[in-house]
Formats: sequence, C-alpha cells, structure tokens
Amino acid sequence: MDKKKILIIDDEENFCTLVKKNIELTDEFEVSIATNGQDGIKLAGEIKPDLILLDMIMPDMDGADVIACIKNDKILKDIPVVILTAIAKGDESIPQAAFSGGYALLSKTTTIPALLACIKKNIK
Amino acid sequence: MWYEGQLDFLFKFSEKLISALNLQNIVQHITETAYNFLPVERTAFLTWDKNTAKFSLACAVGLNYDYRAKPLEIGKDSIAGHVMRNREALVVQDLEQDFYLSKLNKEEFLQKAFICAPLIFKNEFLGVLYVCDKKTPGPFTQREVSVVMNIVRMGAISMENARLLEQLSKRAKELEAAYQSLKEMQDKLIQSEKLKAIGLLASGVAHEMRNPIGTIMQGVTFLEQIIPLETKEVTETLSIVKESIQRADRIVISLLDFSRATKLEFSWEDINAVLENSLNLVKTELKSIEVVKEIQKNLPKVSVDMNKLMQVFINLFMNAIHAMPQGGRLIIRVFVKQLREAINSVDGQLNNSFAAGEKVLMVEIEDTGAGISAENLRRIFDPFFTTKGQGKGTGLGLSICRNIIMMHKGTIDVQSQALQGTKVIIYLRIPDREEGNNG
Repeated sequence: MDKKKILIIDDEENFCTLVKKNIELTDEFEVSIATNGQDGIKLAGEIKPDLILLDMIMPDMDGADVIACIKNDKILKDIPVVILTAIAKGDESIPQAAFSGGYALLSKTTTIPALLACIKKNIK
Repeated sequence: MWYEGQLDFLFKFSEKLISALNLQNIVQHITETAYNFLPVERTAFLTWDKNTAKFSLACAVGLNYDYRAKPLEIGKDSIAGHVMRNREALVVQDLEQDFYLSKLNKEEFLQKAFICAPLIFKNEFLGVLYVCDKKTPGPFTQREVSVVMNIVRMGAISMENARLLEQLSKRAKELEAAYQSLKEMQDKLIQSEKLKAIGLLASGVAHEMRNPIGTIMQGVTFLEQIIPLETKEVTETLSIVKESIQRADRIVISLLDFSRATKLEFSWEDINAVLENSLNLVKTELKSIEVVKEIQKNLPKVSVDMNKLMQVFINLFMNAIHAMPQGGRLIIRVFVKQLREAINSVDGQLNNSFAAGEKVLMVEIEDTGAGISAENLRRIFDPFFTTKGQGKGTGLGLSICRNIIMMHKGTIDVQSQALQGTKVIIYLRIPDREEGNNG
C-alpha cells in the first residue's frame, strides 16, 4: 500500500526538516516541504497530499491566505489541514473555530505522539 | 510726644507680633498688651467674619466670667458694627449718657467707659479692640487713645500677614495634596503603559521563541528514537535537554498568557463553585495545610469567565502553598460588602474603580506563611518580579491574575507584612440586574 502524503508549509526550514524526519520514522507517511505559501500551493497541486501541516504566521503569504487559496481550488479544497502555530497554547488540539476556521490546531511545541495522533485523526 | 516707656513697649510689642504667625496668638497678644500697658479693668477683641457677617469674641482679659464657655457672637447691629461702619476709633467716657450707643450695645462686657478701635488693613476690616473702664480716676486721655491706636495699627498688619500666611499654607497643603494624587495617578499610568509595552514585547518574543523551541523539541524527539536506548548517558542528556526545553516552553506560554488580549467568555457562575473547582486541582499540593472556608450564604451569582477566574484562584492558592512549606492555614473568605470608601484600581483606570457605597463581591485568600516585605510588596504586580528563585517562577503569575481581574472590571489588592502572612483581596462587580440569580 502506498504511503500517505503529507505536505508541510512552514517558513522555518529547520522545523520542517525535523518534523519530516520524525513523521517518516513511522514509515507510514511520505513528507514534502514548502517553505512559503506560494510554493506550498504549487506543490500541493502537483503532489495532491492527503493532509497539509500549515504554519499560520509566515512572511508574504500567511496561513490564512494559503487556506483561502486551497478552499477556492476545485482539486485541493477537500484536503484536510492541520494548523501548526507558535501562538497556540497547549499541546492538544484546541477547538478555536474562529481562528482556525474549523481546522485542527496544534502548538508548534507539541510532542510527536500528539502530532501523529492528530494527523491520523484528520487524514483522509 | 513719645514717652520712653511707650517706645520701649511698642518695640517689645512689635517684636512679639512679628514672631507670632498664628492669628489666634496675635489676637491674644494684642488683647493682653493693651491690658498690661493701660490702667484698665478689661480688654476684649472681637474678630469680624465677613462670610457669616458676625463678630465673635476671640479673646478677653479681666472679664468676671469665662468667655470661652459661652462664645459671644453678635451681628452688625452693635457698637462693634457702628465702629466698622465709621471706620474710626470710638471713645466713650460714659455709655449710659449716650442713648444711641446704649441701644446698640450688645457687647456684654461693656459697662461705663471704653475705647473701641477698629483693625483695618488696606481697607480690609478685621475686627475691633476694646479697652474698658479705667482703674485710675478720670476720663481716657489722648495718650491712652494714641497707645490703643498704635496697638491696632501694628496689630492689623500682623493679622493680615498671619491671614495671608494661613491662606498660603492652606494653598500649599492643597497643592501638595493635588501633587501627591497626580503623582500617584502618573505612577499608575506609567505602570499601566509599561505593562502594555511589556505585553506587546512579550507576545512578539513568545512567538519568535516558539519556533526554535518547536524545532529543538522535534530534534530531541528524533534523536531519542534513532539513538539506541542502552546508551545511558545519551538518553540522560537528551532527557535533560527535553525537560529544559519544556520548561522554556512553559515560560513562553505564560508570556503569551500575559500579553494576550483574550476575549473573555462570560457566564453566570456561583463563585463558590469556581473556588471549589480550583481548590480541587491543587488538593494534592496542600499536604499539611489546613483549608478554612468562611463563605457567606446566599451569595449573588456573578458574570465571569470561569476558566480565567480558575486560573487566578489556582495561581493564588499555589502562591499561598509555596509561602507555607512547613504547613499553615489557607483561609478563603467570600462575602458581599458595601464599600465605605472608594477603591482605586491598581492601574489608575476609572472603569476598574469602585465608588463608596457600592456593593461588591469580595474574595479573600489568606495564608499564614512567610509574608512579603514592604519593598517587595510594591513590586508584586510587576511582570517578571519573583521571589521564588531562579527557574522556579516566571514572575508573571500575579501580573496575569491582575490582568484577568482587570478584564472583569474588578480590582485586586495584596496586603502583607514580612512573617505575618499574606492576604489577597479580589473585588468583583455585582451587576445591577442580577440576571443569573433568577434561576
């Protein structure tokens, strides 16, 4: 069975590299990285990921802009998004609907087990 | 023509007048000097109060009754009033012979002969001095009248000076009080602005910090998984790194808490339930601490953000617990109080202040612990101020509590003395329409 594809869109390159390494240790997922919003949308169109891990605060095009683009794209609009942000507080997914637009929200300092649980819960 | 004795007397009189700065002392000095220098039975001084349009007997010597026991107050329709209108001294050798003045006489101490001299300074009428009934035979002489005139002339200048001084010192006191209250307000505003600036800075720093913290956490997690666990030293080191980075994250979380302009989610709550829930969460920490609750019955419900308020209570309970490592008592009081005097907000903001007479819900959390010195007490709400020692506290707890209470339009105060325990008082607003208290 093919591995599920995850796309990380985050301007923190080191963070992306290590999250990719940790997720790929499970041998269940294949992770791609984009370090800005525009590259992220372009890459999403190419690889059609099963889930996107998205940072909120990025230069030029921020997380909210990326979400708006994805929602308006016929092909991408159903891809689940998990928001990873430095301004969320706790370790667990917080239902901050107003902020996250109904998407799952995780703190960037979350643990890998919590991140994996959240990915598995939301991935198609 | 001046007599030597008269000059000497005037010199001494003026010297004494100059040194007397208090109005009552000057009046007494004038009255006593006239009595001592002239051969008369009585002297008296009536001061004029233009606000009440009344004369009152401020000082007298030689009266056969205690004038202080029954203060004499007379109106304009009197001999003093007559002198005030004429603005010149009146010399009467026999009062009974003067029909007009006899009718005017309201001054209880006048009998036969007297001089009544006005004290006027730059058109301002200040009062009258009486010298009454000579001990020696014969009428008042020109010399005696001129002595009286000299006394009142110099006396008037001194009285006016004293009055000016009194006004000046009153003004100075008012100014001093106004300055103090302005300074207090300014300090509070500076503090409040400082907090806002720190808040902004904190949120920026917190955001920037969490990216590298997240990266380090990911790195440590990855290393933990790929390095064989039997390498004890490596796992130990990684565990220390992980613990430290988690601590850093907790600090950053409190920074975010501190700076976040969170929207509160208000609901009608029973304050006791909020306190109980909070207490339950710190139960395991209580150990040898006895909890005493003094809760008033039938408390009104209040509109609060329960989670935020729990955060405040938990923080205050933990502070109390830390202050009593050897055990002690944690006293929780909740009651409604009608304020006798106004309570100013901790940051000088008006909408967080309470007026005198207002009813407030008060929560007191008191411990019997180490207490706080006066010096530390002043800085207790300053962000990053802590006495808990390095790495043990962020110094943000009370600042956050304060912010949360302020967001509830309440206020918070800490009373403490070293070795005497600490009492935190929270004032919460009871809404006019207690909608939540109907059901």
